[in-house]
Amino acid sequence: MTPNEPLVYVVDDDVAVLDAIRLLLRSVGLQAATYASAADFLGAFDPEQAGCLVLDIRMPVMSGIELQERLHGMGAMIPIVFVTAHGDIPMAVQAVKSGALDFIPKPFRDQDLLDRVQEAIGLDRQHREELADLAALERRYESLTAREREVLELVVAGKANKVIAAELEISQRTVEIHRGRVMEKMRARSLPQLVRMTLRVRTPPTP
Amino acid sequence: MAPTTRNAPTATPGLDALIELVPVALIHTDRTGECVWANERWCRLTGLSHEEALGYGWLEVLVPLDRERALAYHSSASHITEVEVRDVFQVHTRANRMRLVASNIVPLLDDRRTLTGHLCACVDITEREQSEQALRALTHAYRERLKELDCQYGISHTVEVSGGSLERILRETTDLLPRSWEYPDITCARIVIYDLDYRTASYRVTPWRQSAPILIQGRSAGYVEVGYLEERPVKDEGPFLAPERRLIDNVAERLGRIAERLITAERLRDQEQQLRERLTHLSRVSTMGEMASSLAHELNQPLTAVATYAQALRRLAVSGSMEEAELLSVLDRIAAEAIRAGNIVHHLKELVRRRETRREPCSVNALISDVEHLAAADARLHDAQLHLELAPELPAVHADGIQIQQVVLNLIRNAVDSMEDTAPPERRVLVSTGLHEGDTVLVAVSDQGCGTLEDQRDLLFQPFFTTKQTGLGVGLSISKSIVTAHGGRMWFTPNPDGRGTTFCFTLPSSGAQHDAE
Repeated sequence: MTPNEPLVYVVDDDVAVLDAIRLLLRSVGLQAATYASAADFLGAFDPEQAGCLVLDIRMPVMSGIELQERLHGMGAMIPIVFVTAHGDIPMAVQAVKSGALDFIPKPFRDQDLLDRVQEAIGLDRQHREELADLAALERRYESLTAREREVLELVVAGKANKVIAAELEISQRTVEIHRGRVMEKMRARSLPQLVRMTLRVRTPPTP
Repeated sequence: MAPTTRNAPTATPGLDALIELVPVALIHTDRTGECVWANERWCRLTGLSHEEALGYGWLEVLVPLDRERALAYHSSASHITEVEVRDVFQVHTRANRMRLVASNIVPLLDDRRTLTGHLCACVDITEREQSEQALRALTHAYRERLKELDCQYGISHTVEVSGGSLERILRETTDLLPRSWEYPDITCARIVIYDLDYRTASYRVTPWRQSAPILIQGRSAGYVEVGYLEERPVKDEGPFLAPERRLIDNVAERLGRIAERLITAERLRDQEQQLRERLTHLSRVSTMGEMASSLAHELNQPLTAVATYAQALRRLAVSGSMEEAELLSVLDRIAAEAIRAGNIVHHLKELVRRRETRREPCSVNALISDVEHLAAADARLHDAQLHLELAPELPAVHADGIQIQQVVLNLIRNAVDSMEDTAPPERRVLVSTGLHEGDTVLVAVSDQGCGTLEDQRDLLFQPFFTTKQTGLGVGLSISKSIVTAHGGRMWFTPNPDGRGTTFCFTLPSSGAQHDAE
């Protein structure tokens, strides 16, 4: 399987529940990888793999909440859908506050789980696309020369060509050439777009 | 002999005075029974004058029944002419008093051995007879009293050795009764209290019987009956004596009191037993209550699996993308999960149901394995892990399985609760079994918890003592009384590594139990 084809990781200490969820996912054509413990999952988890995680909140040794913390620590962005028993609602709410996509009480309607899983997969895809965009942008930014980057900073700071030429002690004409190069290299169609791109590269979004 | 003169027999002067000195009343009759002489003492005895006594006058003081007999002794027609006769007569004196007189009648013979008359020497034995009669009556009364005491003692002894068995007291008292009646050999007895009915072997309904009601709390509860199998002379009450009436009344009253006491004690024991069983049940339900969310979770798992399987199947069926073999396999899995849920409910019902104590040979390991699921679910809910270390091939114990499971669950619950401040990875409960002191089965439950404070040690097994926020505080005390009732012991020790506590209890193996019985 290629990393781009989504895979649904399922972790639950109850093998019957695990098996049933796998079957349900298969019924809508989703691939699932099932694990009976958090440790088993961590041993097999590939952060590059697109998809999401369906996670039982209450498990022996390492609970779902602890696994979520471990994934955060690793910088993994995989969206998590928690499945919970009724008594675990407060814990589930906490999990959502810590960034989980949602929680579904057991037993659940199949559509509810599938909707959340699809949503999580979409979110993951979006994350991955955004990451890819950012990487491309960074590559373009890296391709600028030192002088071009100086001109870009002053442009983004809102200074006119004349002021830039004076500050850099170059001709106004030269500023215009640099500026055209920057627009071209960054593939910006307008000044506002160039400003946005530059801000993104300088302050990458926190996960 | 000579004619009837006052001093007829006295031929010798001075003899008259001498005769009056003899403390005997004398009367002399001729061959026809006519009085020819009587001494002064005889006259004083009867109240007759000498003159009145003469002829047949002396007969008048005798009661009519005795007159003929007396005359017969004194006449020549009497066949007793050779020897002395002794008899007792009743004399009705002129002073209108009845006297009892013992008489020696001596025939008087002349030289040719011809009967000439009789000399009768009389002694007033009224007082003596009266005192003898009184003595006889006293002796009789004592004998009756003795029999009564014997009977009462017998009952007391029976009560003492019966071990509180009313049946035994009634049976032995029934057999005790006849020997206290006048004719033990023909006496039968029967005692009835409610549905208890005891009879002597010889018992039958006879016309000659007496009975006394047995009252319990003022209400008729039965009776004591004593009867003669044969007719006997009429006494105070039919053939029975007054003391026998007193005795039968006494026995009936006493049995009433004994029965009342025993029945009341039995009822109290029953009530106590019922209370104990209710408290045991309450404690079990309370433990289950504490485990409610674990149980809900435990039940939720198979239900989730069933629902999810079914919904997945429906989708796969609609899309037609499923092999028949797989379909069947999934259906089997659905059924298995439904049965798993059913088993949890069944087991729970078994644990919560109110029921009579029932002991049978059972395996401690199997009992523990049976509740492992439940206990593990509870442990998991508190981020603790349950480990079992069951020794193989333990002897069976004679026990009420549900109650032993109650004890185990209670200990595991306490162990889990004691580890609230322990880091989750270290929250471990270990349940182990093994042999202890020969053939006693030992169960130990150890935790990694906070341990027990020194000043709580004595309180731990007290009812309504608790260190928890929830719960009744009866769990440990009930557990201990369950174990004690099974002939086992319960105690606790701090763990050797200083971390947490181990609670232990023992149960005698069914073999040892039988030996003890």
